[in-house]
Amino acid sequence: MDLKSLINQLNPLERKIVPFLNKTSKVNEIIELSEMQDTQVMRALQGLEDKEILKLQSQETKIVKLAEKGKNIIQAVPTTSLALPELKIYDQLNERPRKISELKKYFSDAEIGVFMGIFSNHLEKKSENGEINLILKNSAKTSSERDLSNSLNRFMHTLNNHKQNPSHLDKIDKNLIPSIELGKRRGLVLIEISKERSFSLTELGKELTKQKIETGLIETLTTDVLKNKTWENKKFRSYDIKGNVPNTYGGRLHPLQEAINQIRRIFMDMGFKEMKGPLVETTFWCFDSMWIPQNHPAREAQDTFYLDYEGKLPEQIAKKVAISHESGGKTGSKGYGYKWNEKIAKQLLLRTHTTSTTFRYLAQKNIKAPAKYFYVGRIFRNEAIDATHLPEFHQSEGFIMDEGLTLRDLMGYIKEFYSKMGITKIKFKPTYNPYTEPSMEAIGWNEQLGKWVELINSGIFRPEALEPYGINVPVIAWGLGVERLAMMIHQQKDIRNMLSASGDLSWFRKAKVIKKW
Amino acid sequence: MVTLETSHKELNKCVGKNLKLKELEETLFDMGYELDKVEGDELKIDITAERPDLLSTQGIARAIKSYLGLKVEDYKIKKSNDKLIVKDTAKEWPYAIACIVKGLKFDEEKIKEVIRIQEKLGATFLRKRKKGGLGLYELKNIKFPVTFTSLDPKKIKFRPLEYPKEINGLEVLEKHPTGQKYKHLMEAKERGVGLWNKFPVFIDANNKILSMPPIINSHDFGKISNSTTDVFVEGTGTDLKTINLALEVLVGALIDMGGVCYSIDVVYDKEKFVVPSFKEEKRTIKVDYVNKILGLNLKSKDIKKYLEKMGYKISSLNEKVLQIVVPGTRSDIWHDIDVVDDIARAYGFNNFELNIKPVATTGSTTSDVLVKEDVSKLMIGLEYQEVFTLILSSKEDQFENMNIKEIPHIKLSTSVEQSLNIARVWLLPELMKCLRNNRSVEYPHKLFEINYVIHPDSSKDVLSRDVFKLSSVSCHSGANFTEVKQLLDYLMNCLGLNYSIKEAEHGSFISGRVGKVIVQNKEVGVVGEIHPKVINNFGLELPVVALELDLTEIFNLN
Repeated sequence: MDLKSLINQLNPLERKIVPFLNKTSKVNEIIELSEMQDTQVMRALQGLEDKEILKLQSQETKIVKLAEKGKNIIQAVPTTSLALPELKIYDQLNERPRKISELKKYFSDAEIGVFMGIFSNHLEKKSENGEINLILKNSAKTSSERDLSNSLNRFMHTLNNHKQNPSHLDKIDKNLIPSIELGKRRGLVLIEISKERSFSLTELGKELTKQKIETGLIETLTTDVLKNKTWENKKFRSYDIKGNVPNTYGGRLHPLQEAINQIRRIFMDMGFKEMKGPLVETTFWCFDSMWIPQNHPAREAQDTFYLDYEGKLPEQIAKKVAISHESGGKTGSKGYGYKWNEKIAKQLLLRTHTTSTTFRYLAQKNIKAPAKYFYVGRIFRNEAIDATHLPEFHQSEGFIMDEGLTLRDLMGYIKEFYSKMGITKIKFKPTYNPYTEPSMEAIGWNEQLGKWVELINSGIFRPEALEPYGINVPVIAWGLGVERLAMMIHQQKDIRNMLSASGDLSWFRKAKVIKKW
Repeated sequence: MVTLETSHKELNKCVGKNLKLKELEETLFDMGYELDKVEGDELKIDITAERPDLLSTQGIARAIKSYLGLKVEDYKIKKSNDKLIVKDTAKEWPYAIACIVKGLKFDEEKIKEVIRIQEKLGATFLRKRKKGGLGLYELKNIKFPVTFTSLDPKKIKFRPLEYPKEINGLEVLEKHPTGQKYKHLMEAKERGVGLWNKFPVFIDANNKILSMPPIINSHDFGKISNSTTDVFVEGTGTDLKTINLALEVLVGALIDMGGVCYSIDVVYDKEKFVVPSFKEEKRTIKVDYVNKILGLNLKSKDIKKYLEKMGYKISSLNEKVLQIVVPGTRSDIWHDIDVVDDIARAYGFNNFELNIKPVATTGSTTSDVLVKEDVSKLMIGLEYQEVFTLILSSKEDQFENMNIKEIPHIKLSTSVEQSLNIARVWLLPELMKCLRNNRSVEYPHKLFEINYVIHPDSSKDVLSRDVFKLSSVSCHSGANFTEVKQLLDYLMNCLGLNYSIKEAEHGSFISGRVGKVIVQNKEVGVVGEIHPKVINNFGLELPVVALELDLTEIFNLN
């Protein structure tokens, strides 16, 4: 970036600091010189580092400081005076021997204890009239103990007088080390690790410091600035518009709902009316009504949520359905040749497909050709929950009833449906459903994934399935699983993110909108 | 869907043509089956449920041969004078049929295939042996007539297959691995306790026990080896049609392996019939009917060509009509439409020219959907994120963890997913679960859902009704009653609804900070600050305010 643009983008804190950058390389000194707060200076320096004006460094150093206890002792006496208790007591005893009781008038037990501990080799204790008399030996005067205490005393005064510049351990006279150790052991001084922050200017930075930095640019467009028209005479501080900003998110529909809406819209565009049916169904509507025999593997207990309740049958219709199962009715079919059992049909279950609703409509809503109906609804399968299985998901299906519909029309409508989802290359594979014949799977080429995807199952409803309802006009139908389609579009590998309370909220917030254009 | 496991090499041998994988895959696809997995020579083919006759290498090979226009030999059946007498059978396992196949040259591959066919049919078509079972025996030591009957299990004494000594029927179930595996088949379901009174047995004319179906054959008769040439094949079970079909699949395969089939007279109390029959069926197909369904303009000679590809025979034809013979292996032809489907498969589903007959109708959706659209938009406008949860839930989450007493609900009688045992009666606990599962995601968490719950209702044919509800939660450090009341005000105002709020007690909410929502004198919902006990139960550490409204009630949705 050129220098001029850079200067325009400097924020107020950065502007305040720039003049000091060539005066020192130490952060603490900048703080002192600029009279700004630590946090402000650091923020400005960080900003300048981001703009590649300088590089921040920090060095760890060990610093010796007075501890609280040490501060109290040192600050209680004038500079250079004796502060340590053992030295004060030494002075007293240097004049003449004294009784402990006498010392107790001026010193605490603790202080006396410290003295006695340090000078224990240089003391004589004489018992006199039940009292202890302390006599200083000659050896005390030149003792190493006295030297060390004196040294510490001097050092503590030094520390006290240089509040602003704590002593760096590595710059201290090595001879002081024993005193420092002593002071540390007695809790009078402490050694802290401190980070000394500094920086070095880049070439760009050096250039910058040579420039004149304007102040007084407008930072924020406020009501005052507008009222006073300050902006007429001043410039705005520029922003780094390429910089990253924090993420934000709003309220949104769930990605699965967006997929459902997409499918609903495709059906409605093609002139389909939406149906609605119950989640809990009778075995009758779920299976019997559409000519699925009572012994068919599709009814197996392992996949179906059978419930321990008995529902009610539509009596007239049930009679006709029974005949259709047993002998094929008047369709010319062989029928299944078994005795239809009413009790089986009454058992309640959670519906295994939305086709139960399709047949409720065909049977009871007096639908006449031409008609197109669809439904997007939840269905149930007795399975454990894992990344690719759920006990519930959504199916969408549609049917068309009209004179003269053929297998070619079923294929044509499916191709149209797929093309509205952006899939134009499709293949048909014959398959088997107990209630449609012929039946087809329609497989589409997904360009993005680079593979064929099996999405749609379809067929023409069997004559035996429609006869109980007096329908003898072709009815073609197709359906697909919604979650499967949605997972494909979103390249989402975990079905629980499509449906369940385990769904990842952070993914909902950033999932891409489904392209419809 | 059933998976047929077969060998590519063997399949090609049976077809009589060296089919490469790609051609095989495409042919199967056009026929309506899927080459699912290929592992070296082993192939896994998906066969649809209505074609048990394709559950053998020989069976699928026949169909492929036909489809490719190669000649397929009819099954030839000779007649033996042997009989199978069926009498005094166990009421739980009343039917049996059998026949003979001679002149086989068994090798390891053929024995493997025979076992595979029996197991595949047993596991799928015969519902894990619950509906029936098949048995195969060395013919040479069997004296006819053979009888299928039932005896007190303690009186049945024989040496079961691969077992060192003779044991009785009950001991077979206790001690033999196959007996242990299938013991449950003999459980007396009606009584609920104990086993069948009498167990099925095959006994020959020398009073030797051949087997105890559907459990196990005798070691002396039931062992097939490379030196076996003649076999006795039987099927037993609960439904005559079913076991007949299964037997014919196995026998068909044996014939295609080079065996010669001899039928047996199976004699019941009141009837007798010849097994196997591979009974063909005559049908009349109208050319107009075919073209009406398929949308084509086929001539009868075209239809003849396509039907022959699918294994049918044509006895005669004219411009309008064909007299056809449905092969005896087909059990899925109930109506002329089933023949039309076969014609379409032979024509090739991907050879049809697509058409769209214009059907003039207008589109629309339901009130539920429209209400959801409007309410969702309002929630999103207040920065709520929609969630989508399961209708199935648990008593623990719906009641206990929400600190309320149980409300009438629909129970699940079994669920593979252990954590679910009822259908939900309200949405709020599911939203609490969402909060629990997303604790590491940036707050605030403002979530909503509009969906169905299920309430018991004895007035309906399905003893329940689906109720459409809106529920929302807001979870963050500043969540309070004012916030959720603002939401309620906003919603009601934008939806044009006059409402009032009534003080209430509700275990899920803090006493004194919860209210019932009233619209047109009906209680339609609840709003308030969630009780800390509930917040704890869901492992949360921030306050939650919530709202739940019954949209079905408010908007009279039905």
